[in-house]
Amino acid sequence: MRGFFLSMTKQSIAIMLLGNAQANSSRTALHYARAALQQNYTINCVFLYHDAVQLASTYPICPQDEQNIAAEWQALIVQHQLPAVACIASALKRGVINSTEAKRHGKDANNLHPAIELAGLGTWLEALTECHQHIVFAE
Amino acid sequence: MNCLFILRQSPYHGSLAREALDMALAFAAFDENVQLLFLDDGIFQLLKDQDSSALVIKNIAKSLAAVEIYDINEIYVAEECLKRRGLRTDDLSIAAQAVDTRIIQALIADADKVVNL
Repeated sequence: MRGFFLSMTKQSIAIMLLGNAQANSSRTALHYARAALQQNYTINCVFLYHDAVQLASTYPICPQDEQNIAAEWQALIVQHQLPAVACIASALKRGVINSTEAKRHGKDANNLHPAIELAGLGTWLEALTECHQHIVFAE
Repeated sequence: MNCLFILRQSPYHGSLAREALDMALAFAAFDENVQLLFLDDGIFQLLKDQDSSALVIKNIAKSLAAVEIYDINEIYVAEECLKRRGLRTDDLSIAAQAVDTRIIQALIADADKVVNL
């Protein structure tokens, strides 16, 4: 029972990323998120802003001997069912779109990972309000 | 909620300065109490007489001029960063209060959330 109670009170973390899919900060953030989850912290939001919206794309292709950071983030999000959001304004500017936006803007393909949502900064504000702590991985 | 945004990006190096400011303005639009602290090359965002037309990028000073409309009244700039760049508050396009390290520490300590961009 005590263990249950402790796990209920584990702190939640909101994570914001700004770096692109090749940025060291995106890799560091991945390691940080894995470590936090291993220690039973909850991640209440992964918010992809600025160039980090690239991490929401299913299109990055890497040589086999190189780490595909976007794919690893997407796998982590799916595995732990993390609430993940790409800022819609940042994403559209950088060509990361879902089928709705593709249709709206007359594009013939879409690349947003299905476990990641497109939303506005209000979602980040909400996550920031609700979390115990937050961390921004800048470029 | 008291949100302190630390803005460190030079105005036209990529789009982060603009997107960081957009975040602060969005928070203010949601009625959060927003404070802006300009550090490092971020203080170049505040310079008077910016003309970004040759770069075909929106002038960030124009957006900064609008912060009052969003009820953002607390704008701080690090004194040390100004000095190192040979600038004074007179060189800035909006009224910003020059603050020393001790005050910066207090701002960070007193904020409910610090968003460091």
